[in-house]
Amino acid sequence: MKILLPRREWRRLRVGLLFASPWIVGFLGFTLYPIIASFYYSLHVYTTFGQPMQWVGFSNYRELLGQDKLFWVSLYNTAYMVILGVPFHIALAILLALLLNVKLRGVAIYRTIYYLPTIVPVVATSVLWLWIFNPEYGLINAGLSLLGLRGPGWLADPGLAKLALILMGSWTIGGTVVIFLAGLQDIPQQLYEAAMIDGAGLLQRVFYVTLPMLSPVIFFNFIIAVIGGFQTFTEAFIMTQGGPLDATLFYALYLYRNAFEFFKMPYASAMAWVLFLVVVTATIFVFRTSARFVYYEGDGSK
Amino acid sequence: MSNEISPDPQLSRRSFLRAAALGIGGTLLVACVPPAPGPSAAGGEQAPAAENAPIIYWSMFGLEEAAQAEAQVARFNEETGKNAIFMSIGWGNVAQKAQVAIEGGSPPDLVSLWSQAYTWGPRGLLLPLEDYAERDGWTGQGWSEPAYEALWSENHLWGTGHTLNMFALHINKGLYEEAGFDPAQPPTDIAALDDMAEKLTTLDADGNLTQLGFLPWQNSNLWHWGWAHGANFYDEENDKILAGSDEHILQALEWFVSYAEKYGIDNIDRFQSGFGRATMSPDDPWYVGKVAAQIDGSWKRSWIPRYAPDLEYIVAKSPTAAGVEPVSLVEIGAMFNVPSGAKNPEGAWELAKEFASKRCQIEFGNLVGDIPPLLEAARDPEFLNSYPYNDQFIEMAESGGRAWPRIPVLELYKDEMNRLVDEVVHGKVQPQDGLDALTQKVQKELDDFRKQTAA
Amino acid sequence: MSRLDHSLSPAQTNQKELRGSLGTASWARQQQIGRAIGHVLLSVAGILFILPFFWLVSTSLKELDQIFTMPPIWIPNPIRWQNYPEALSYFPFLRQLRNTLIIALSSTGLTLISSTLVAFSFSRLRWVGRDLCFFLMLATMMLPYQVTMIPLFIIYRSLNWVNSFLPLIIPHAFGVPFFIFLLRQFFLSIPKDLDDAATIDGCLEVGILRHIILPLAKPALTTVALFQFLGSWNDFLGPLIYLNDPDKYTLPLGIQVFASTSGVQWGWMMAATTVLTVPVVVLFFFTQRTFIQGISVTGMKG
Repeated sequence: MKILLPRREWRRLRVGLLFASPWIVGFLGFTLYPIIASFYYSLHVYTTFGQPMQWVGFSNYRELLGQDKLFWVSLYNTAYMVILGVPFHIALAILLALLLNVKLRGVAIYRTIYYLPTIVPVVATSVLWLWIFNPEYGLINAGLSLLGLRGPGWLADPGLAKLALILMGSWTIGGTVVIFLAGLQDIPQQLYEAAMIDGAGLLQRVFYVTLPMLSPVIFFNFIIAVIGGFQTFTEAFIMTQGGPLDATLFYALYLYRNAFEFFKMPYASAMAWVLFLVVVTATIFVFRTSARFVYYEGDGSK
Repeated sequence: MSNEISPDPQLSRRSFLRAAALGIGGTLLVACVPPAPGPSAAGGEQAPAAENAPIIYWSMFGLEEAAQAEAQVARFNEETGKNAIFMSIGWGNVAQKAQVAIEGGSPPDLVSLWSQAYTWGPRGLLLPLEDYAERDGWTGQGWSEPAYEALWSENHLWGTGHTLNMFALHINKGLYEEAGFDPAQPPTDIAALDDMAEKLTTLDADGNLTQLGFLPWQNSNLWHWGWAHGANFYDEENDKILAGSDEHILQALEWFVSYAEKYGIDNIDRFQSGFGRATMSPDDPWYVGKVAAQIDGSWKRSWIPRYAPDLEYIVAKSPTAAGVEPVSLVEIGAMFNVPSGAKNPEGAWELAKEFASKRCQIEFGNLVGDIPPLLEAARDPEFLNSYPYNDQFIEMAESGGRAWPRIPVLELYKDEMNRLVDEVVHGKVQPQDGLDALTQKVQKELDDFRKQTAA
Repeated sequence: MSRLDHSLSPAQTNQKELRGSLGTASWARQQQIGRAIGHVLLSVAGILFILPFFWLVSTSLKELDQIFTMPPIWIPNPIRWQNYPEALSYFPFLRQLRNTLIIALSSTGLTLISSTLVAFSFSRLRWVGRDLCFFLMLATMMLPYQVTMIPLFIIYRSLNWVNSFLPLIIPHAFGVPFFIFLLRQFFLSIPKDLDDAATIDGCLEVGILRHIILPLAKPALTTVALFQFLGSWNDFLGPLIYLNDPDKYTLPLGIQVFASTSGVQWGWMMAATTVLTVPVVVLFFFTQRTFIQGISVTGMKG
């Protein structure tokens, strides 16, 4: 069944594919096989390495969804981080980027300082945060005790551990901030000035000029944060090992355990594909709703 | 015209691209040179030369341990004329790297891991070695029995070892004496242990803990205390998980709960989370007196001179329930495994045997403080006198030691046990219910595994 | 936004108008107050952000027994400068530095070229199946790496690339989805009218890319280069899995040499880590000054 395209479309297709060819080739060569392989694994069970795997159809998925309590726990924990953490971090990053975009003396130093936590190795950050959250003499609780309050257990408290991790995550928003800063550079000064002439105050300028012009970048950071949020792993792996009481047992951590500790790679693959479906759905949702909020100047529409 | 682009950006774009291309081309050239064909240090695709095929050994050791291992390997090469290559991968990374390499088809010849063998071996990632052992008469003669047992699982020998991790009660002598106890009489049964815990635990005016005499799950776990109550976790004959049915385990678990109730689990949590990550530092809660006594490992005594040189301490065999002899987990500290697909399994086996030899065992034991599995080595004055209380551990290696139930789902069993204790002491689930649920889950995994590998 | 069109008078006229409408004195004062508030906010939070780096450096100068004290000791006493020469001579630092540089530089160059081409295709060209490919590319980011690690290793092994730099460099020649997505968003905010004008002038797609997009996307491109460099520089898992010969190791991998089963030489490790981190901090400082200081102007007039 050959699809007949008008000649112009045909040419456009060729050119488009040509420019996109690096990715296409890479995808076919390096990405496609692992993806198909992992799906293939998820439909089998491991017998012995070196022997063929045993076909079980979707029984891994059935077991995952029907019998595995920890699947739901880890999914909940992860969704919690995404739903609460992502908007918080994005908003914070925008705020920080706005502050850092101002031509202050020494602002370059400030920008570097705010970016530092992302390049400092995880061991340093985890030691520090364990101290900050320490219920006995951590920074936060020490501060609270000055006010006469008894600080909570933070990472030791199942109800608060995830919030503590979200708070900790706001430390490494440096990368997001830099991307916002890059985006802010592209907003023409004239728009601000015209707005000011129109009598717009600071907040109005932000809401009517900055944010709309920044929206493609906000969209990017948001999607990336959602995708990344669903794969939260490192802090829990290093600092809490999923505790207390599985409060920080995140999906990626549970997946890792299944793959590398319990040695159930097919089961872990099934987990990966379920997560994939969840993330795809969430992303499609964001894409659909974004049409109203994202303004692409280069789209030729507005 | 509306195009305001000045000519400059054009040129700079072009020159940028040219520079980038040059840069990449240049670095690629340089980068492509290193992978020289020939004896690279990973099982490449070449067939090994007959005489001096390399023996690639990926080690978990670092720092001084690596230095010692390297020296041992050099000595081995000198004496046997073989070509063993030592590579320090690191304790935290070696398992991950090895697993990917083995499953990816590019394994080393020998790798040192800890209890991965029980999971990896039955699933085909490791080469069973019992044929080599039988051929060479390597039978674990003179070894501590549970130690030798620990090298086997599912009727296969998975490797050799050179050190044991063992556990005993470590008591802060100063605090013990202050509370009126006699250092020569450490607690030997649960009742005495409870008494000591009571007397050595102090609270402040607000009811917060300031010093913990003893807590069963501080630095220890239900495995140890289950064994201390005389429990069995696995029935080898019937391939059954016994967590739910062995009443000793229930007793141990209920004993845990008694501590949670006595001090309040919230208090305990707060106090424990104040310990931080201090195990390999001078701030270990036991060094600084926050915890008066805890079950700890045989290697601790080699850390004390480094981190707490002024600490006075007593090491006693773990207290046990009435009628149960003093008990300790006997764990192979580092197992030398041969991966499936290794290019030079014969050479790897020779190296593994060398590491398990008497002299290597003594050398390592002296460095790290852990007990050599070969009792002759352990009793050798060179080792025996190197650290105080060595004899306590050695006695337990001779009798009273318990090895892990070396089932293919051991990691899951351990993970579930941790979760169980956590939930039970926090009152989320009743002890027997928790044990039953655990048994069901682990048993199912075990049965599934049997089915899948029988097919 | 009805009055915000692009037919505005040049910047200077605006400034004069603004000053005129607000009064010079209060304009200056507003700026001053704004600056002061900015400094205060940034420095207060900045202290928190600089903590991990500060801990890193101060730990690298500590004696072993002072490292994990709770609460942490901030100023080491005595200061152990020897940690640095001792740490750097303990492992082949220079060689690993060279390795890390090779990998980081070539990855960055390749990423820049390939990701720009593909992003251009996804944003400025219209072709059948474009958005499908774009979404497919996004989807490849949604599958957790734990389950594709081993099949990918198998691919590299069959190419005989294991134990070389190639698996760490070559994939970047095929575009990196994260950066392709980022650049696509930036390219989409460049007004389409410029393209149309150029096409009328007889420009082909390559010309549009070269003459219009690239000059205007400098902040984005610099960000991509910076992030890719940092990513490769700090990459640990890739080198761990794919490099076997110690003389091929990169710095993050090489630093692991300071850990053993009975303890970690934290002083040395932090010293080595500081040496690993400082160049990156300096790089960041100078790079962000080049692309964040300026505010680009859209080349549009009436």
